[in-house]
Amino acid sequence: MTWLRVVLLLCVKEARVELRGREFATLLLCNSIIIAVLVGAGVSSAVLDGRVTARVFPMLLWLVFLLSATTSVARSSESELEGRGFEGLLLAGVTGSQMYLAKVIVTATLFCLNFWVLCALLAAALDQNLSSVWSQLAVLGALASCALAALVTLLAGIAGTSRLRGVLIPILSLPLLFPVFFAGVEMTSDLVTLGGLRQGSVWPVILVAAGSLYGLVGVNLFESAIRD
Amino acid sequence: MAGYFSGVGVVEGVVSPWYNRTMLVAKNRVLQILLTLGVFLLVGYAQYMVFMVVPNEQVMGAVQRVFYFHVASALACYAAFGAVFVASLLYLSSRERRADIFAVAAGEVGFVLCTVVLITGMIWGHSAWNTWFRWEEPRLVTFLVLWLIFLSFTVLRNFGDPTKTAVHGSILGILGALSVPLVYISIKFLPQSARLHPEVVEHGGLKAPSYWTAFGLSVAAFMFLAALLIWLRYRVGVLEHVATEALLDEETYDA
Repeated sequence: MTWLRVVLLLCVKEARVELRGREFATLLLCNSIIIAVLVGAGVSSAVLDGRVTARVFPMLLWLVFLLSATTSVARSSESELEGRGFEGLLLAGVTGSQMYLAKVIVTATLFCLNFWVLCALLAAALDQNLSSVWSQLAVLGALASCALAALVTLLAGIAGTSRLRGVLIPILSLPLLFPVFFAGVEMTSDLVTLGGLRQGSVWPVILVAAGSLYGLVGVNLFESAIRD
Repeated sequence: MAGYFSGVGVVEGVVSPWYNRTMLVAKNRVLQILLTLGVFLLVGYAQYMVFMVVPNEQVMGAVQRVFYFHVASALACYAAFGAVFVASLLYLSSRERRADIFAVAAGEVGFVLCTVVLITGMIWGHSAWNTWFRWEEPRLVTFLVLWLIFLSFTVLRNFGDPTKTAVHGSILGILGALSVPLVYISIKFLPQSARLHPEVVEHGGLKAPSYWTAFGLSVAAFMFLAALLIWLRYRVGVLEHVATEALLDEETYDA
């Protein structure tokens, strides 16, 4: 059995666990909707005009996305940590890197879907037209979701056994996510105002570099984080 | 129980490792007092240079003296964060408990130094730029993020899973240290209306020799102060660990 095939099987396992319980996806979507509605109501109360709303839209989008993702992700490792699933997989010869990669793939997929829903939701709430840049925004969401999943999967393994896991993951991850946040806001801002990225923009590089760094650390240290 | 804390440290006629280490601590006390005195003398002399010898800067006036604390504590903070990174790597590769205790000590001292940098920076900023904080300024935001990373490191150490705190803290220490350059680069590329942070040393500032002497002394004083604080916190950490082990041994013995 090749290394990648094990990762693929673990992905299927992760997806099945999620499909059976639907806890992580439901929590993620509910959090996104609630925070997005609150943001929409707040902006409406502040009586911001259309131009100001367009300027703050990228920041609000990424704030809601990162907050909802980091507050929901504790559920993603819950079943393994409660049922000692990690130990079982390690005993079966599966490496920490394989488990980490499988978790990142599934988590990133859910984050990405959530980002797309959130874009539509916030665009409707704040009256923004994103139809012309939809495809570019979708690619940006996919890239950012990978970087975000690479970091929070590792941190979910770290904070998962703490009794404060629900609040610990956002506290640990948000300071480290600043490059992703800046890159997301700047690129979305370019897309919304200019209709495309500025020439020579460094933000895609920063986003990929952040994702690669988190992934590299996660692949190497995830096993240490979950092993007793 | 009474055996350990009455200073005997003997269980069934066997001298415990805790007792041996306590004796070692007592022997090091003279060294500790000497080092502490030395560092405080250095800090005192640096203060004397900054407040009594260095003349007032022409544009900023007396507020410029904040510079000596601000830059020196920033450099000491970077050094502490570097120490966290190295100690965390050492702990993960060797599982040597002392490396973890050292990482905790460096992290806590680094957090305090980072707070000093932020506060002195805000005092300077309010006087020089008429604002407490500028979000367009890369160095300010970088230090704020660094402060948040240190904060999360401290939170994890205190509220994480107690049985795995050492491993988890080490991973966060490595992740945090590796993220800092990326944070700095990303902030540098943010659109800026005006970059305000002065680059005194890079632009050949500090013309008068007394400025340089005071600056060098402040940096040395803060570096040694940070090293002393880390060492003292490390010793407290070792004693905490030894006491915890002794309690566990005692419980096992009682059982």
